[in-house]
Amino acid sequence: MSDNIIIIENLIKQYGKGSKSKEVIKGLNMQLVRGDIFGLVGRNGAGKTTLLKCIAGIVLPNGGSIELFGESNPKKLHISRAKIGGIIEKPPIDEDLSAWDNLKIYAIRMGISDERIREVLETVDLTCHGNAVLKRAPVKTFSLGMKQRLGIAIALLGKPELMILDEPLNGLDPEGIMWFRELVLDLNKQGVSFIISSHLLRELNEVATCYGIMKSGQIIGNITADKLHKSGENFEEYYKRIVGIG
Amino acid sequence: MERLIKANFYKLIKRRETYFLLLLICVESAVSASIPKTGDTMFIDRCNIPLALDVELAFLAVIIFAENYAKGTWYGEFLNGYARRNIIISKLVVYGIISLIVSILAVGIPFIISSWINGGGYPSNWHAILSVFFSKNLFIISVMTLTAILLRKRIITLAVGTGICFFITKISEYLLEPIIPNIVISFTYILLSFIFIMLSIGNFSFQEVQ
Repeated sequence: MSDNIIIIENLIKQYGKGSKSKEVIKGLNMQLVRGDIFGLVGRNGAGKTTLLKCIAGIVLPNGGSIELFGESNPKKLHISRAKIGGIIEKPPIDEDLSAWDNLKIYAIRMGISDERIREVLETVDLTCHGNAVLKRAPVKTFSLGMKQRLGIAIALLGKPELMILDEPLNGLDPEGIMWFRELVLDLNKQGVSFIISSHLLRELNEVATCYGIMKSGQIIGNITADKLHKSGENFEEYYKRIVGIG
Repeated sequence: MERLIKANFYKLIKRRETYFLLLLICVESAVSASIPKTGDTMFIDRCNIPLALDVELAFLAVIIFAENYAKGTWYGEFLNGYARRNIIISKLVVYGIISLIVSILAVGIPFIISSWINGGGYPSNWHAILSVFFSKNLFIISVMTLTAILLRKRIITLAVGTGICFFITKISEYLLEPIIPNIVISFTYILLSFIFIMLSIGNFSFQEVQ
């Protein structure tokens, strides 16, 4: 039995209408197996973020189909999205409120206890800043790295089965990057699947179990880490060959 | 839906602007009812509605709707597993309740002060004032919601929403209310509100939010 949690077929997304329209996703096909860490790479403008936005329901596709956790009816997809946590472009944070209040708003929406909020704050290593900072200081006073950690905390709050992370390493310092790598691997062991879009190929190489290379709105290369390893090629070489660089 | 409404209330309660707006409406209502104006000797003339109410309702629309576009927080709600229709309806409910509180303050305070200054009493056509006032407020809420959803930008929503509401309500006040029965005006406001709310829900359901 297939254990695909995402099946995307012939996805089309265009922005604008008429002569000014621009097709960003052009008949894209993709599958994500439960337990995978899918590394999504490609040049700026390749359509990576738009693909993630389509999955998250931020933008609506113009054609094709998206199946999430076995649900393909577009009118019911929102129910499956409760199993997804993520950061797309920037963390969904109200910067005028404190970290605690931001988490509390999401916790109320999902019917989650304060205990779980404390748990995720611990997981993302924000508790070291103290209760006063977390409960009183508005998030706009936080560093970029702290905001990113808070975004990850929000994504983790509902114990998601799938995490969608768009450039998650933005603003993280070297320690933060190492922490993030461990977090991803740890959560993956607990059964969480990932789609991680990043330009940092070497970092992605450390965690991904499969890769998708996007160019001009399509996935032009798709390979598992195992196959890549067996081929003797590293991911950077594979990427260059598929995209046609050097 | 209940959780969405609770979360929206929590957010509003935690924002300082909410308290500032409530305080502002109280002060404004008290001042507008206390200062005698030339020719205003009747009880009903004193018991008027503060002009800045439109701006305050527009500001609430910015906090509840428009800010989500600027802050990129809509998708957080989508990933909580709620349908877009429910998300927008829950915000409308919260906006409606807060606006009702603001409206009650805007009417109640001048009412009490006017009554005190005039040594008791109430306007004979109070029911007409209330029906027009609340239907007008419903109309303002619906216009502000649609404006915030279509225009998305905070300052533009504030300016355009306030402008439209001020313009329409003044036309109604000076041109229509003297000649058309209050019940017809109230009904028209409610009908228009329903149309604008439906347009807001419909538009948001198919909108690219980020």
